[in-house]
Amino acid sequence: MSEQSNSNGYIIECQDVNKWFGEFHVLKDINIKVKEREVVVVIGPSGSGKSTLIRCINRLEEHQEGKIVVDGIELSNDLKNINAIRRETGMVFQSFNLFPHLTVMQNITLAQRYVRRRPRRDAEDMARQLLQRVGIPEQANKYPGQLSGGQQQRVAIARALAMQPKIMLFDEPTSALDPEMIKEVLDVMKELARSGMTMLVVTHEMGFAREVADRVIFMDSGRIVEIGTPEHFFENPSHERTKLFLSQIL
Amino acid sequence: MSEAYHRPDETFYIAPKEPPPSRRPPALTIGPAGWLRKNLFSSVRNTLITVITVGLMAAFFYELVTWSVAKAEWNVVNNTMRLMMVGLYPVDQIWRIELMAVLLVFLSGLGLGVWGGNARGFFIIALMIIIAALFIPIGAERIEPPPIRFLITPTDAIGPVVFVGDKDDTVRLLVEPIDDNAIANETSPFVGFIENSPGSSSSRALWNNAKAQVVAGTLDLTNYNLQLTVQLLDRSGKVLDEQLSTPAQRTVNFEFKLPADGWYYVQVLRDETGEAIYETVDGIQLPIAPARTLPNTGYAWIRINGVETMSSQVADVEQRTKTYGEVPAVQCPSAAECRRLLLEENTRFEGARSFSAFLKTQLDPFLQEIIVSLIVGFAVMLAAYSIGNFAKQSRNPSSKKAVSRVTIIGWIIFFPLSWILLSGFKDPDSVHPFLRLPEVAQSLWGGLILTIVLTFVSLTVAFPIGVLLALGRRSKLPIISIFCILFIEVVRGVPLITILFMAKFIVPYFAKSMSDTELLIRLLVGLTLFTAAYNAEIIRGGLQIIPKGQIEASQALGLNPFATNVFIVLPQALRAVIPAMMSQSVSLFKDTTLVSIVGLFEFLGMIELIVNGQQIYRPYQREAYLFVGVIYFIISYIMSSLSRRLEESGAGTVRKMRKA
Amino acid sequence: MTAKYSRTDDFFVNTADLSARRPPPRSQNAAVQILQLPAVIVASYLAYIGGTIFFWNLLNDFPAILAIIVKILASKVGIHLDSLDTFLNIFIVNITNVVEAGWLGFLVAFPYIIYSVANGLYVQWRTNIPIYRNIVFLSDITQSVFLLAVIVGLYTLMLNVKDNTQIPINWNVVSRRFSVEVSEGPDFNTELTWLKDIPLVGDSLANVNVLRPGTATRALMTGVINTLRAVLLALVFSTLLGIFVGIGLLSNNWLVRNLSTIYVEIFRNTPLLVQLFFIFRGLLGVLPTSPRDAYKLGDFYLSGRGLNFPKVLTTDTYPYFLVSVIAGLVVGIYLWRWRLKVQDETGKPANTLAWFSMAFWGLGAIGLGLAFAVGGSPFKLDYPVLDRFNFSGGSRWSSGYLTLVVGLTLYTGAFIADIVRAGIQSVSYGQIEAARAHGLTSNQTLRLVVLPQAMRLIVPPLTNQYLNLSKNSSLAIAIGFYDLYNVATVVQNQTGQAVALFAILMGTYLVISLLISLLMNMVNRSMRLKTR
Repeated sequence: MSEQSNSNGYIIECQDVNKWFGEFHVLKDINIKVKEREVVVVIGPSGSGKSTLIRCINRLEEHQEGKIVVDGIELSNDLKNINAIRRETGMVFQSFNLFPHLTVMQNITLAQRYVRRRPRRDAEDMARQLLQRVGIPEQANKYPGQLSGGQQQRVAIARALAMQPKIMLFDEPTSALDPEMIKEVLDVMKELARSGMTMLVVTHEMGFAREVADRVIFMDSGRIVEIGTPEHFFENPSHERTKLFLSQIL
Repeated sequence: MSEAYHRPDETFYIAPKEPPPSRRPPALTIGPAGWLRKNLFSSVRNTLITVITVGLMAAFFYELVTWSVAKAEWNVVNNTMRLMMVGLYPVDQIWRIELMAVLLVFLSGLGLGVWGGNARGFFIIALMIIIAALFIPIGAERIEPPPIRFLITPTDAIGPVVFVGDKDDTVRLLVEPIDDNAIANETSPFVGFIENSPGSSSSRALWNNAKAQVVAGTLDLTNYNLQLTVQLLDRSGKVLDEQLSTPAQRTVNFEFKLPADGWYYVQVLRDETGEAIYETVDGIQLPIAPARTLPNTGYAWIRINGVETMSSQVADVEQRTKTYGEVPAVQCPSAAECRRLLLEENTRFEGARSFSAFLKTQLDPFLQEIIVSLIVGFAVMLAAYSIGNFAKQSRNPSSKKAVSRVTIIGWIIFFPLSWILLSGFKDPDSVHPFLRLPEVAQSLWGGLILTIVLTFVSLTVAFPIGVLLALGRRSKLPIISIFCILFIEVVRGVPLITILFMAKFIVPYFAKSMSDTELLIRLLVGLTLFTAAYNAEIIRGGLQIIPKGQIEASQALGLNPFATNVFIVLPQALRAVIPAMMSQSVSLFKDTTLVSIVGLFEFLGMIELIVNGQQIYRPYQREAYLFVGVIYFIISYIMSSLSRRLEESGAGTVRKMRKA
Repeated sequence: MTAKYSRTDDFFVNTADLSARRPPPRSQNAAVQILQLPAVIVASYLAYIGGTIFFWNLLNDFPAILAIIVKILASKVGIHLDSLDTFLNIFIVNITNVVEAGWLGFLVAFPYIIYSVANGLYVQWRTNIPIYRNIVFLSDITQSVFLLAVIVGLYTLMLNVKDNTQIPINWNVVSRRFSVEVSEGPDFNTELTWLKDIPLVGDSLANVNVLRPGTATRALMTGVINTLRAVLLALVFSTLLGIFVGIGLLSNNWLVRNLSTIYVEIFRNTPLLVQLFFIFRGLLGVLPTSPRDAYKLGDFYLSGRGLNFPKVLTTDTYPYFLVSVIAGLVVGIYLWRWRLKVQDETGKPANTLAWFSMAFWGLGAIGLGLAFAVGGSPFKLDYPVLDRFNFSGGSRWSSGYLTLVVGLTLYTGAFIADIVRAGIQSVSYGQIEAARAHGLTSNQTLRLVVLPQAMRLIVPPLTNQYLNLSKNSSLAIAIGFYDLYNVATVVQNQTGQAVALFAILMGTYLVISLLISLLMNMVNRSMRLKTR
């Protein structure tokens, strides 16, 4: 699928990415490199552009300047590229965005059947496996409205995984959940990380970052302020802004 | 109460072991008295309002009921029932319409059973109506047909009155001379039929004229003499009985029993000679009437009892001719009034009829027309509902799926199928010898069936167009959205009737092939575009409810825009707007009345044709319009209460996601 | 999982101070900046379309010549295309018209197509994105194809209309003579004397062809005025009735509540046309037709021809009265505001209504007295007097007008009642409880708490009902009242110019709808809840 082989083993590469909403400069000179099988957590105050960055990677938002390369495919106005990239990335949203008029099983198999062109049996088998993996195999025939928040988010994760993506993007997956349910979703994400999936997670869960992340990116006002390993980041931050931020939340 | 307990304002208090028995609320606050007090008489102002309203309502209803029972002539509805329901459809092909109606009822019943809730109330009400309809005619016993009166004036000649009678019917003839000024001062004295000649020659007009003259003093009825011979003749002109009205014996009253079925006529002759009249008995001439000294010009009412006015319906005329033969030719005393047939178009009911007369002559024919279809419809609906309900509640989920699939497929093929059924084929034998459906031109369609066809076809065809327009309006491509917005706003900003006129006059210009198109097709095009624009607005509301995140999620999954719309957006949007669409359908149903202005005879147009186009029914416009209003009201009310139930059952809302 | 990487480019501290930058700068060249302005682009495109239409005759010959050349070349090769013509003529749709329209559509969409193709090729050259997969190019092409289809469709219809109408479309139809007698509304057979009073353009306007007495334009203007007369009156009455019945729907009194419900259900579920016919033929139609037998109530005469009532005319002393009424209004408004200020500063009850009424009625009475003192009553009544066959003097509401107003009022009133009920019910009961707990009386609660919030929910559907009312007034044609639609239909029948008249008709209705929408939007905006 990739037109050029991965350069240096980086699966996501952003070079000098700039984005404006009208006159408002929302992403300023973003440079990120994410390796395969790496778990990168993006943290920062609200309005810092973290969600926008994630959404630019699978073309839910368009960047005006700079270059984004995912799995060797450059993100541009090329329809084929966009579709290919969307197939390679799976996204989990803050508000779950499950389709309320379809059952859980149908939610997970819909894209498989119409995008990946899998036959229904195979799609359902894959769906059942994934539901088992996220821990709710018995909810297959229920409607999303009948599930709790944590269960819905896990179904959303299963739905994204069903497309067998190479990268999973998480846009504040636990921000809309009650505290009791955050743990179950984080457990799924930890298991996912352990199994070797490349993950780019925007979250406020510092515990998760400390435990699972390979690297932490701190963004503020649209620019990347600091990148580091969790130990470096949480024990020994360098930038003033990082120190200020951490002092307010920890 | 076991023991006295301490008042609660002391420092210590211990409740008794057992609680005091519960007491009923004060008598005037519960029960019917309480209800009255709360709802109707709660305050002075309220009481006043209640009293005034009750008074007004009582007066209004009293007027309404007495008018409809005693004075209104509902036969305008009974006689033209077929016209109103199916228009000018050929009589021998009406079975096709009946088949279509049965299918429609069956599919509705199925749908109601599978998806509807509890419809038991509806069936019980329908059953009660049918039972009432079956039993009312029994309560209405055979009554005397109202009398028929003619006024004899000094100058007018009275032609023979021709009627039909059965064997052993008793016909009573009464001549009541008016020789008393006091009688002239009374108000119109009669209940029954009077002839309906136009203008000044009708009995009513002449009577009013004479009354005015008596009151003014220019006419003295006591000055007149009257010498009439009233004869009853049979078809061939043979006098069966006659009696004389003479100055001595002014009032003539004779009964006659008809010997056989057939035509008879009553003839009134004025004796102009003025000579004495003698009768020969045993060879002796006995004077019956002396020579007349006063002019033989007086006023008299001739009243004929026991004879019914005859229907002027073509079918009935044919039946009558078959049974009794052609109308006999009779001698005319003058060219002016040659013959008066006791036809319903020549007579008019005046006065007030009794309730049992109302039952027998008005309600009974109406019920006879509809009872068969009511019973058949009820049975079919019940059967279909039971099937649907049974499938819905059965354990096997696939049976419910099968029945709902059958229903949906049934509805989808119903429309083209019914169109073919109604219009038939140009060459009936070409398709299949079994399917002999001769063509029925669309100009012959009319009545309630046409209204239903217009509504359903517009709804069905406008639906996909409306969806496309709504999606186009929200499109990001500016040219498409501008075009859709312009179209929707222009079509919604002009009255429907201008669109229909445009459709009628301008559409033929658009393509040569369409100038021969039937008016129905042209108006359907206009109606469909109009409905599509309104539907587009409704669907747009539904599209707006869908959270943007869903579209993003499906994009993130890689679904292309077409699949996103078909699988994600439209199912939710359409489900959300079902109640609004139903109320739009009710609006459309009411708007189909406008095609009557443009020349298509649907239900209202048919009524217009009947009531304005035909002389005999012209006085009965109020009854006709009331009937039309009631029918429209019933259908609209059923549809809107259905939609209200749908809305309450939650089918209309987007399925809510539980908040985390 | 601890990271195994320790390369320094994984640790990054941003020491630069990146403040916000403006979006990527456009070209510095002034000429390019001007040329890229949207207004310039649109204007040049419109000029291009104008030129195409202007030179249409020249341009249209091109495809015909091309077709001939193609045919000659093809016949040289051996293919005969003439038989194709006869084959195409079998189609009922006129192929020539479609081809001509296709050519126009192509010409109009041409710049856009060129632009999108050029853009796509440029992008392909620069970035290797093939043009057929470029989403920008794809959406541009979709739009241009759509534009082409719309233009082809509309122009084909227009050409077909031109072919098929026997009568050529004449936009001057409005200056033709209108010969039907319209017995109400402003008389269109008289000169418009007030036109001459307009400064500057008055004289030339008065001589314009289309405004002469008796022309169709004047008749159409009379029709518009008739429509407006009916619509405005029906608007006011139906709103009042709707409010009254809407409040009745929420009444405590079981009888009133149910009667209101019955009224609303009956008048909402029966078609308006049936109601109009019932009133016109069934109720007004049974009134005596001869004016001599008309029912008399004081000076009001009701007969089958309509309602005759005294006309109110103003006399010479009217200006005194008018001036004092206006003065009363102005003074009253000032007093109103003053009293509100007094209430703000001192807490005394404002009694605004009392003060306003005092000023208004007081000054009005003074004006009346003054008028009487000077020369007599400011008004005089012109009584309808029965001539031989008809009433003369007084003013008349024809039975058609009465029917239309009454029917529209009853019908729209039922819908408005339901809207009012829904609006009032939408105010949550807790608000009313809170207001009452604070000691506000029932009236004050209604005025200060319930109604302002209810109005927000009422105004948008109310706008819709007003628009429906103005459109439903066109049903006057069914009862013979000469509103705009009826007049236009008569003109169309006489002259056969359906296209011109329907354009005028639809334009007028659109303008009326637009005016009502704008007015109600202003009302709506003034009541908007200020949110964050």
